[in-house]
Amino acid sequence: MGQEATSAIRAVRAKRGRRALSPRAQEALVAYLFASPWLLHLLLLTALPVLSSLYFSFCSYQIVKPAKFWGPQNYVRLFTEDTRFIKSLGNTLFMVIVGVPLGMIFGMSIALLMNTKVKGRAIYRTMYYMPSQVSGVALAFLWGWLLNPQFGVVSNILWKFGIKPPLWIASPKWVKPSFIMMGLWGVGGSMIIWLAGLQSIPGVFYEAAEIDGANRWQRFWRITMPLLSPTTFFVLTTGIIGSFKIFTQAYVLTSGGPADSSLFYTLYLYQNAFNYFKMGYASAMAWVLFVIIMSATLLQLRFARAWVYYEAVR
Amino acid sequence: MDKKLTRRALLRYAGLVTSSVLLAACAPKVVEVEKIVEKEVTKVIKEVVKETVIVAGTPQVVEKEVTKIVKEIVKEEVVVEKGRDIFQGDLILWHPWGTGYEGGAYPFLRNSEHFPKLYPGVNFINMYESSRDKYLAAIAAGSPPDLLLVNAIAIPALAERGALMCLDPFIKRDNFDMAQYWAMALDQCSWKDRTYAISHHPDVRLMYYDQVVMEEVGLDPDKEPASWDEAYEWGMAMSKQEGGRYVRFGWVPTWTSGPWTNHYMIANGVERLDRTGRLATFHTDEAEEAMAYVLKCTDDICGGRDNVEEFQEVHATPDGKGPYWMFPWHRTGMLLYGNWLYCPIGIIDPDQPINNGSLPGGPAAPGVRHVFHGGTMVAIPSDAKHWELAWEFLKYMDSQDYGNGAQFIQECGDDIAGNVAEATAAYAMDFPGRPKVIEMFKMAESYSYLPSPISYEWEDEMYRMADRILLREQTIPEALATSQKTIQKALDEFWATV
Repeated sequence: MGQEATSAIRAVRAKRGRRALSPRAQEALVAYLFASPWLLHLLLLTALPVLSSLYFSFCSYQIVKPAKFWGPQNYVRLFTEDTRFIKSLGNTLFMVIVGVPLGMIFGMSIALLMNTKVKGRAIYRTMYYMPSQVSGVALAFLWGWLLNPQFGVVSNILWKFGIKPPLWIASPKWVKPSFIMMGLWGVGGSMIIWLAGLQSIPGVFYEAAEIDGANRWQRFWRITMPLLSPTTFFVLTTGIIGSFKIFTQAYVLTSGGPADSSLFYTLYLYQNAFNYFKMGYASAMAWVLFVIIMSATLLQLRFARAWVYYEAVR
Repeated sequence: MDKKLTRRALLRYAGLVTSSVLLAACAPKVVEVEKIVEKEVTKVIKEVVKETVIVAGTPQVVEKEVTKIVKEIVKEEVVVEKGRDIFQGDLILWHPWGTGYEGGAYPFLRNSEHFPKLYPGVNFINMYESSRDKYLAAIAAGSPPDLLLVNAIAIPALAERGALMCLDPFIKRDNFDMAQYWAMALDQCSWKDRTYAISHHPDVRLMYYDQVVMEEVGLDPDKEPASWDEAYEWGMAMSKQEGGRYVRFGWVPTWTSGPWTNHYMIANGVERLDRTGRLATFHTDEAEEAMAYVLKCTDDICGGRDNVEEFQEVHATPDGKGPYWMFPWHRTGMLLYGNWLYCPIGIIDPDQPINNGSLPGGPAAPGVRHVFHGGTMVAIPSDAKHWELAWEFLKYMDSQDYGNGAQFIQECGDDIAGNVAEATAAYAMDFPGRPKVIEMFKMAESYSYLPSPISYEWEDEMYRMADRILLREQTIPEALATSQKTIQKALDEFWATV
């Protein structure tokens, strides 16, 4: 029957003088046509700019003038002459090394609380999740007021304990911890992911552990943590990638100050691109960042074999 | 044969029709060329007439200035480009302010209503919140707006890189009167003796003296400090503490509109670059002296940098925080700030007794007083589509056809009307400090920025140097050496690409 239909189609097409497309080819063509807007978007607005930036990274490109190819000079300057590049990388690494683990601990803790059978749990989940949906700029302005040394909420709490609050974003020592605090306010996003992970753990494990006399702490360490390891891995990887891209709060509140203490990598990249007319140099910085993040991700993937437990695999 | 319209066929035809419509819409339009237009021109003519008046019974001839408004119809031959009528279509202006009254936005709102009345067929598009990265991207893409509002710091940076159209040929062709502008407004619109923009909104950084505070501490409210030492003494006298905490700073020399390191170096006679503009020359004894002075004032008058930061936060006013809002609330005795400080003064306390003046020269350059200028101006990007119409707008912007445009802004020194609700031109012209501010505009010769293609890098580096000095991360000589090295590197990198 199928063969007859195919022959009939071919006969009709032959009569019309066109080369016959198989039904599979036809379906594929239609599928590509429907996907074409997205494919065009990917090619024109993602792939092409990415490849262009690779080319520009080997050019002197002042945005308003055509790019002039000059080889790897941007990369050489980056690694041999630019002290602010090192400073920005150091500031960013601080946020990654301190901010990511703190964010994970807070996110997981809240998720564990939200996973208990508490009345109004849905409302609490919403309340914890909502701050993560606030836009970066609004969040920055809001925290600018929360961290007011005199009458900000955070400072008031410290005053109550007799502690003189620091100058927060106006202090080179406290500006990065201030940004970490702002980031912790938005752990609701990772909380949802932790929650999903927690709820995917079968209850039978806990029942069996209880029967065997395991206490709460043992159940957490021996059951919850290993079975939550895929989620942990995901949150860790995305958290590291996100932390490397920290930009909005520094751009809005401090412009990298005081004295470059909040000069993060992407902010410095932006300054080179749009303040100093060094788009070629900024493109080189972007590719270096890509290599750093890719390397970090590959390292994590490599070491994940040792500690991430996928129930279906083992 | 019974042909059925299948879904696939329907989608195919719909796609073909849509593509055809899109292609047709993108096709270039051909319009008529060359026509004579008539337009009504309003001229304000001021003339001096002699009049006989009786004074104490004696006839006397006096001179009086009379203003006449004359309207006439003028025929003009339109200069058109091939295939395009320059007096038709969209004229797009980008500026960085918001909608409504923010910054210099208000005059552009009125422009968008008034300009099309002079040029029917022109749709004036007033695009707000166009930040630097946005317009740089537009220029790079080859689709810039026809008119771009930039600030003084951008002129050398963009002009040297060929992003702006030189206006000298237009000025010469149309005999445009550039003498109507203050010298500093012409200066900041030019680069290497070529004009690249028309001033929209020039401004100055001048001294403000709170006469109430000065009288309170026994200072003559109508005088200005003659030297840096005297400014220091006045600052010390006007600072006030209550319960061991500052409630008023006599003077905060670091509170300037722009990087203070720049201003005090200039005031102490420091040449920031050599004559070629390619060598950084600002690390000098005079510069060290200037930085040391500001550090001493900050420590002695204000109790240190951290104290200044805390003061801003502690004494945030109902209207906002920072020196801009503090002065009308008498939290500072004197301040070096932009003329737009009259905006919050006008809102909070229009009758506040204030004296204005200039910053005295430092010990290495005594006897010279400084008013620092900056401002905004409107330029035509090199690749603008409607550049002839854009030039028409620039001439109109300062014409007497339009009483509330840039000319008015020039005269009153700022967009003060735009920041006070219900303000009218008449009100703004009468703001209290106007006569003194106009004087300051005339004497403003010192740059609040560095006229150089690396002006932005200079600005950022000056802020960083300021932080390093105030935070004592480096000694003053070290901070100057670091900054000079950074600036020299930026200069070398730029000039190597030319």
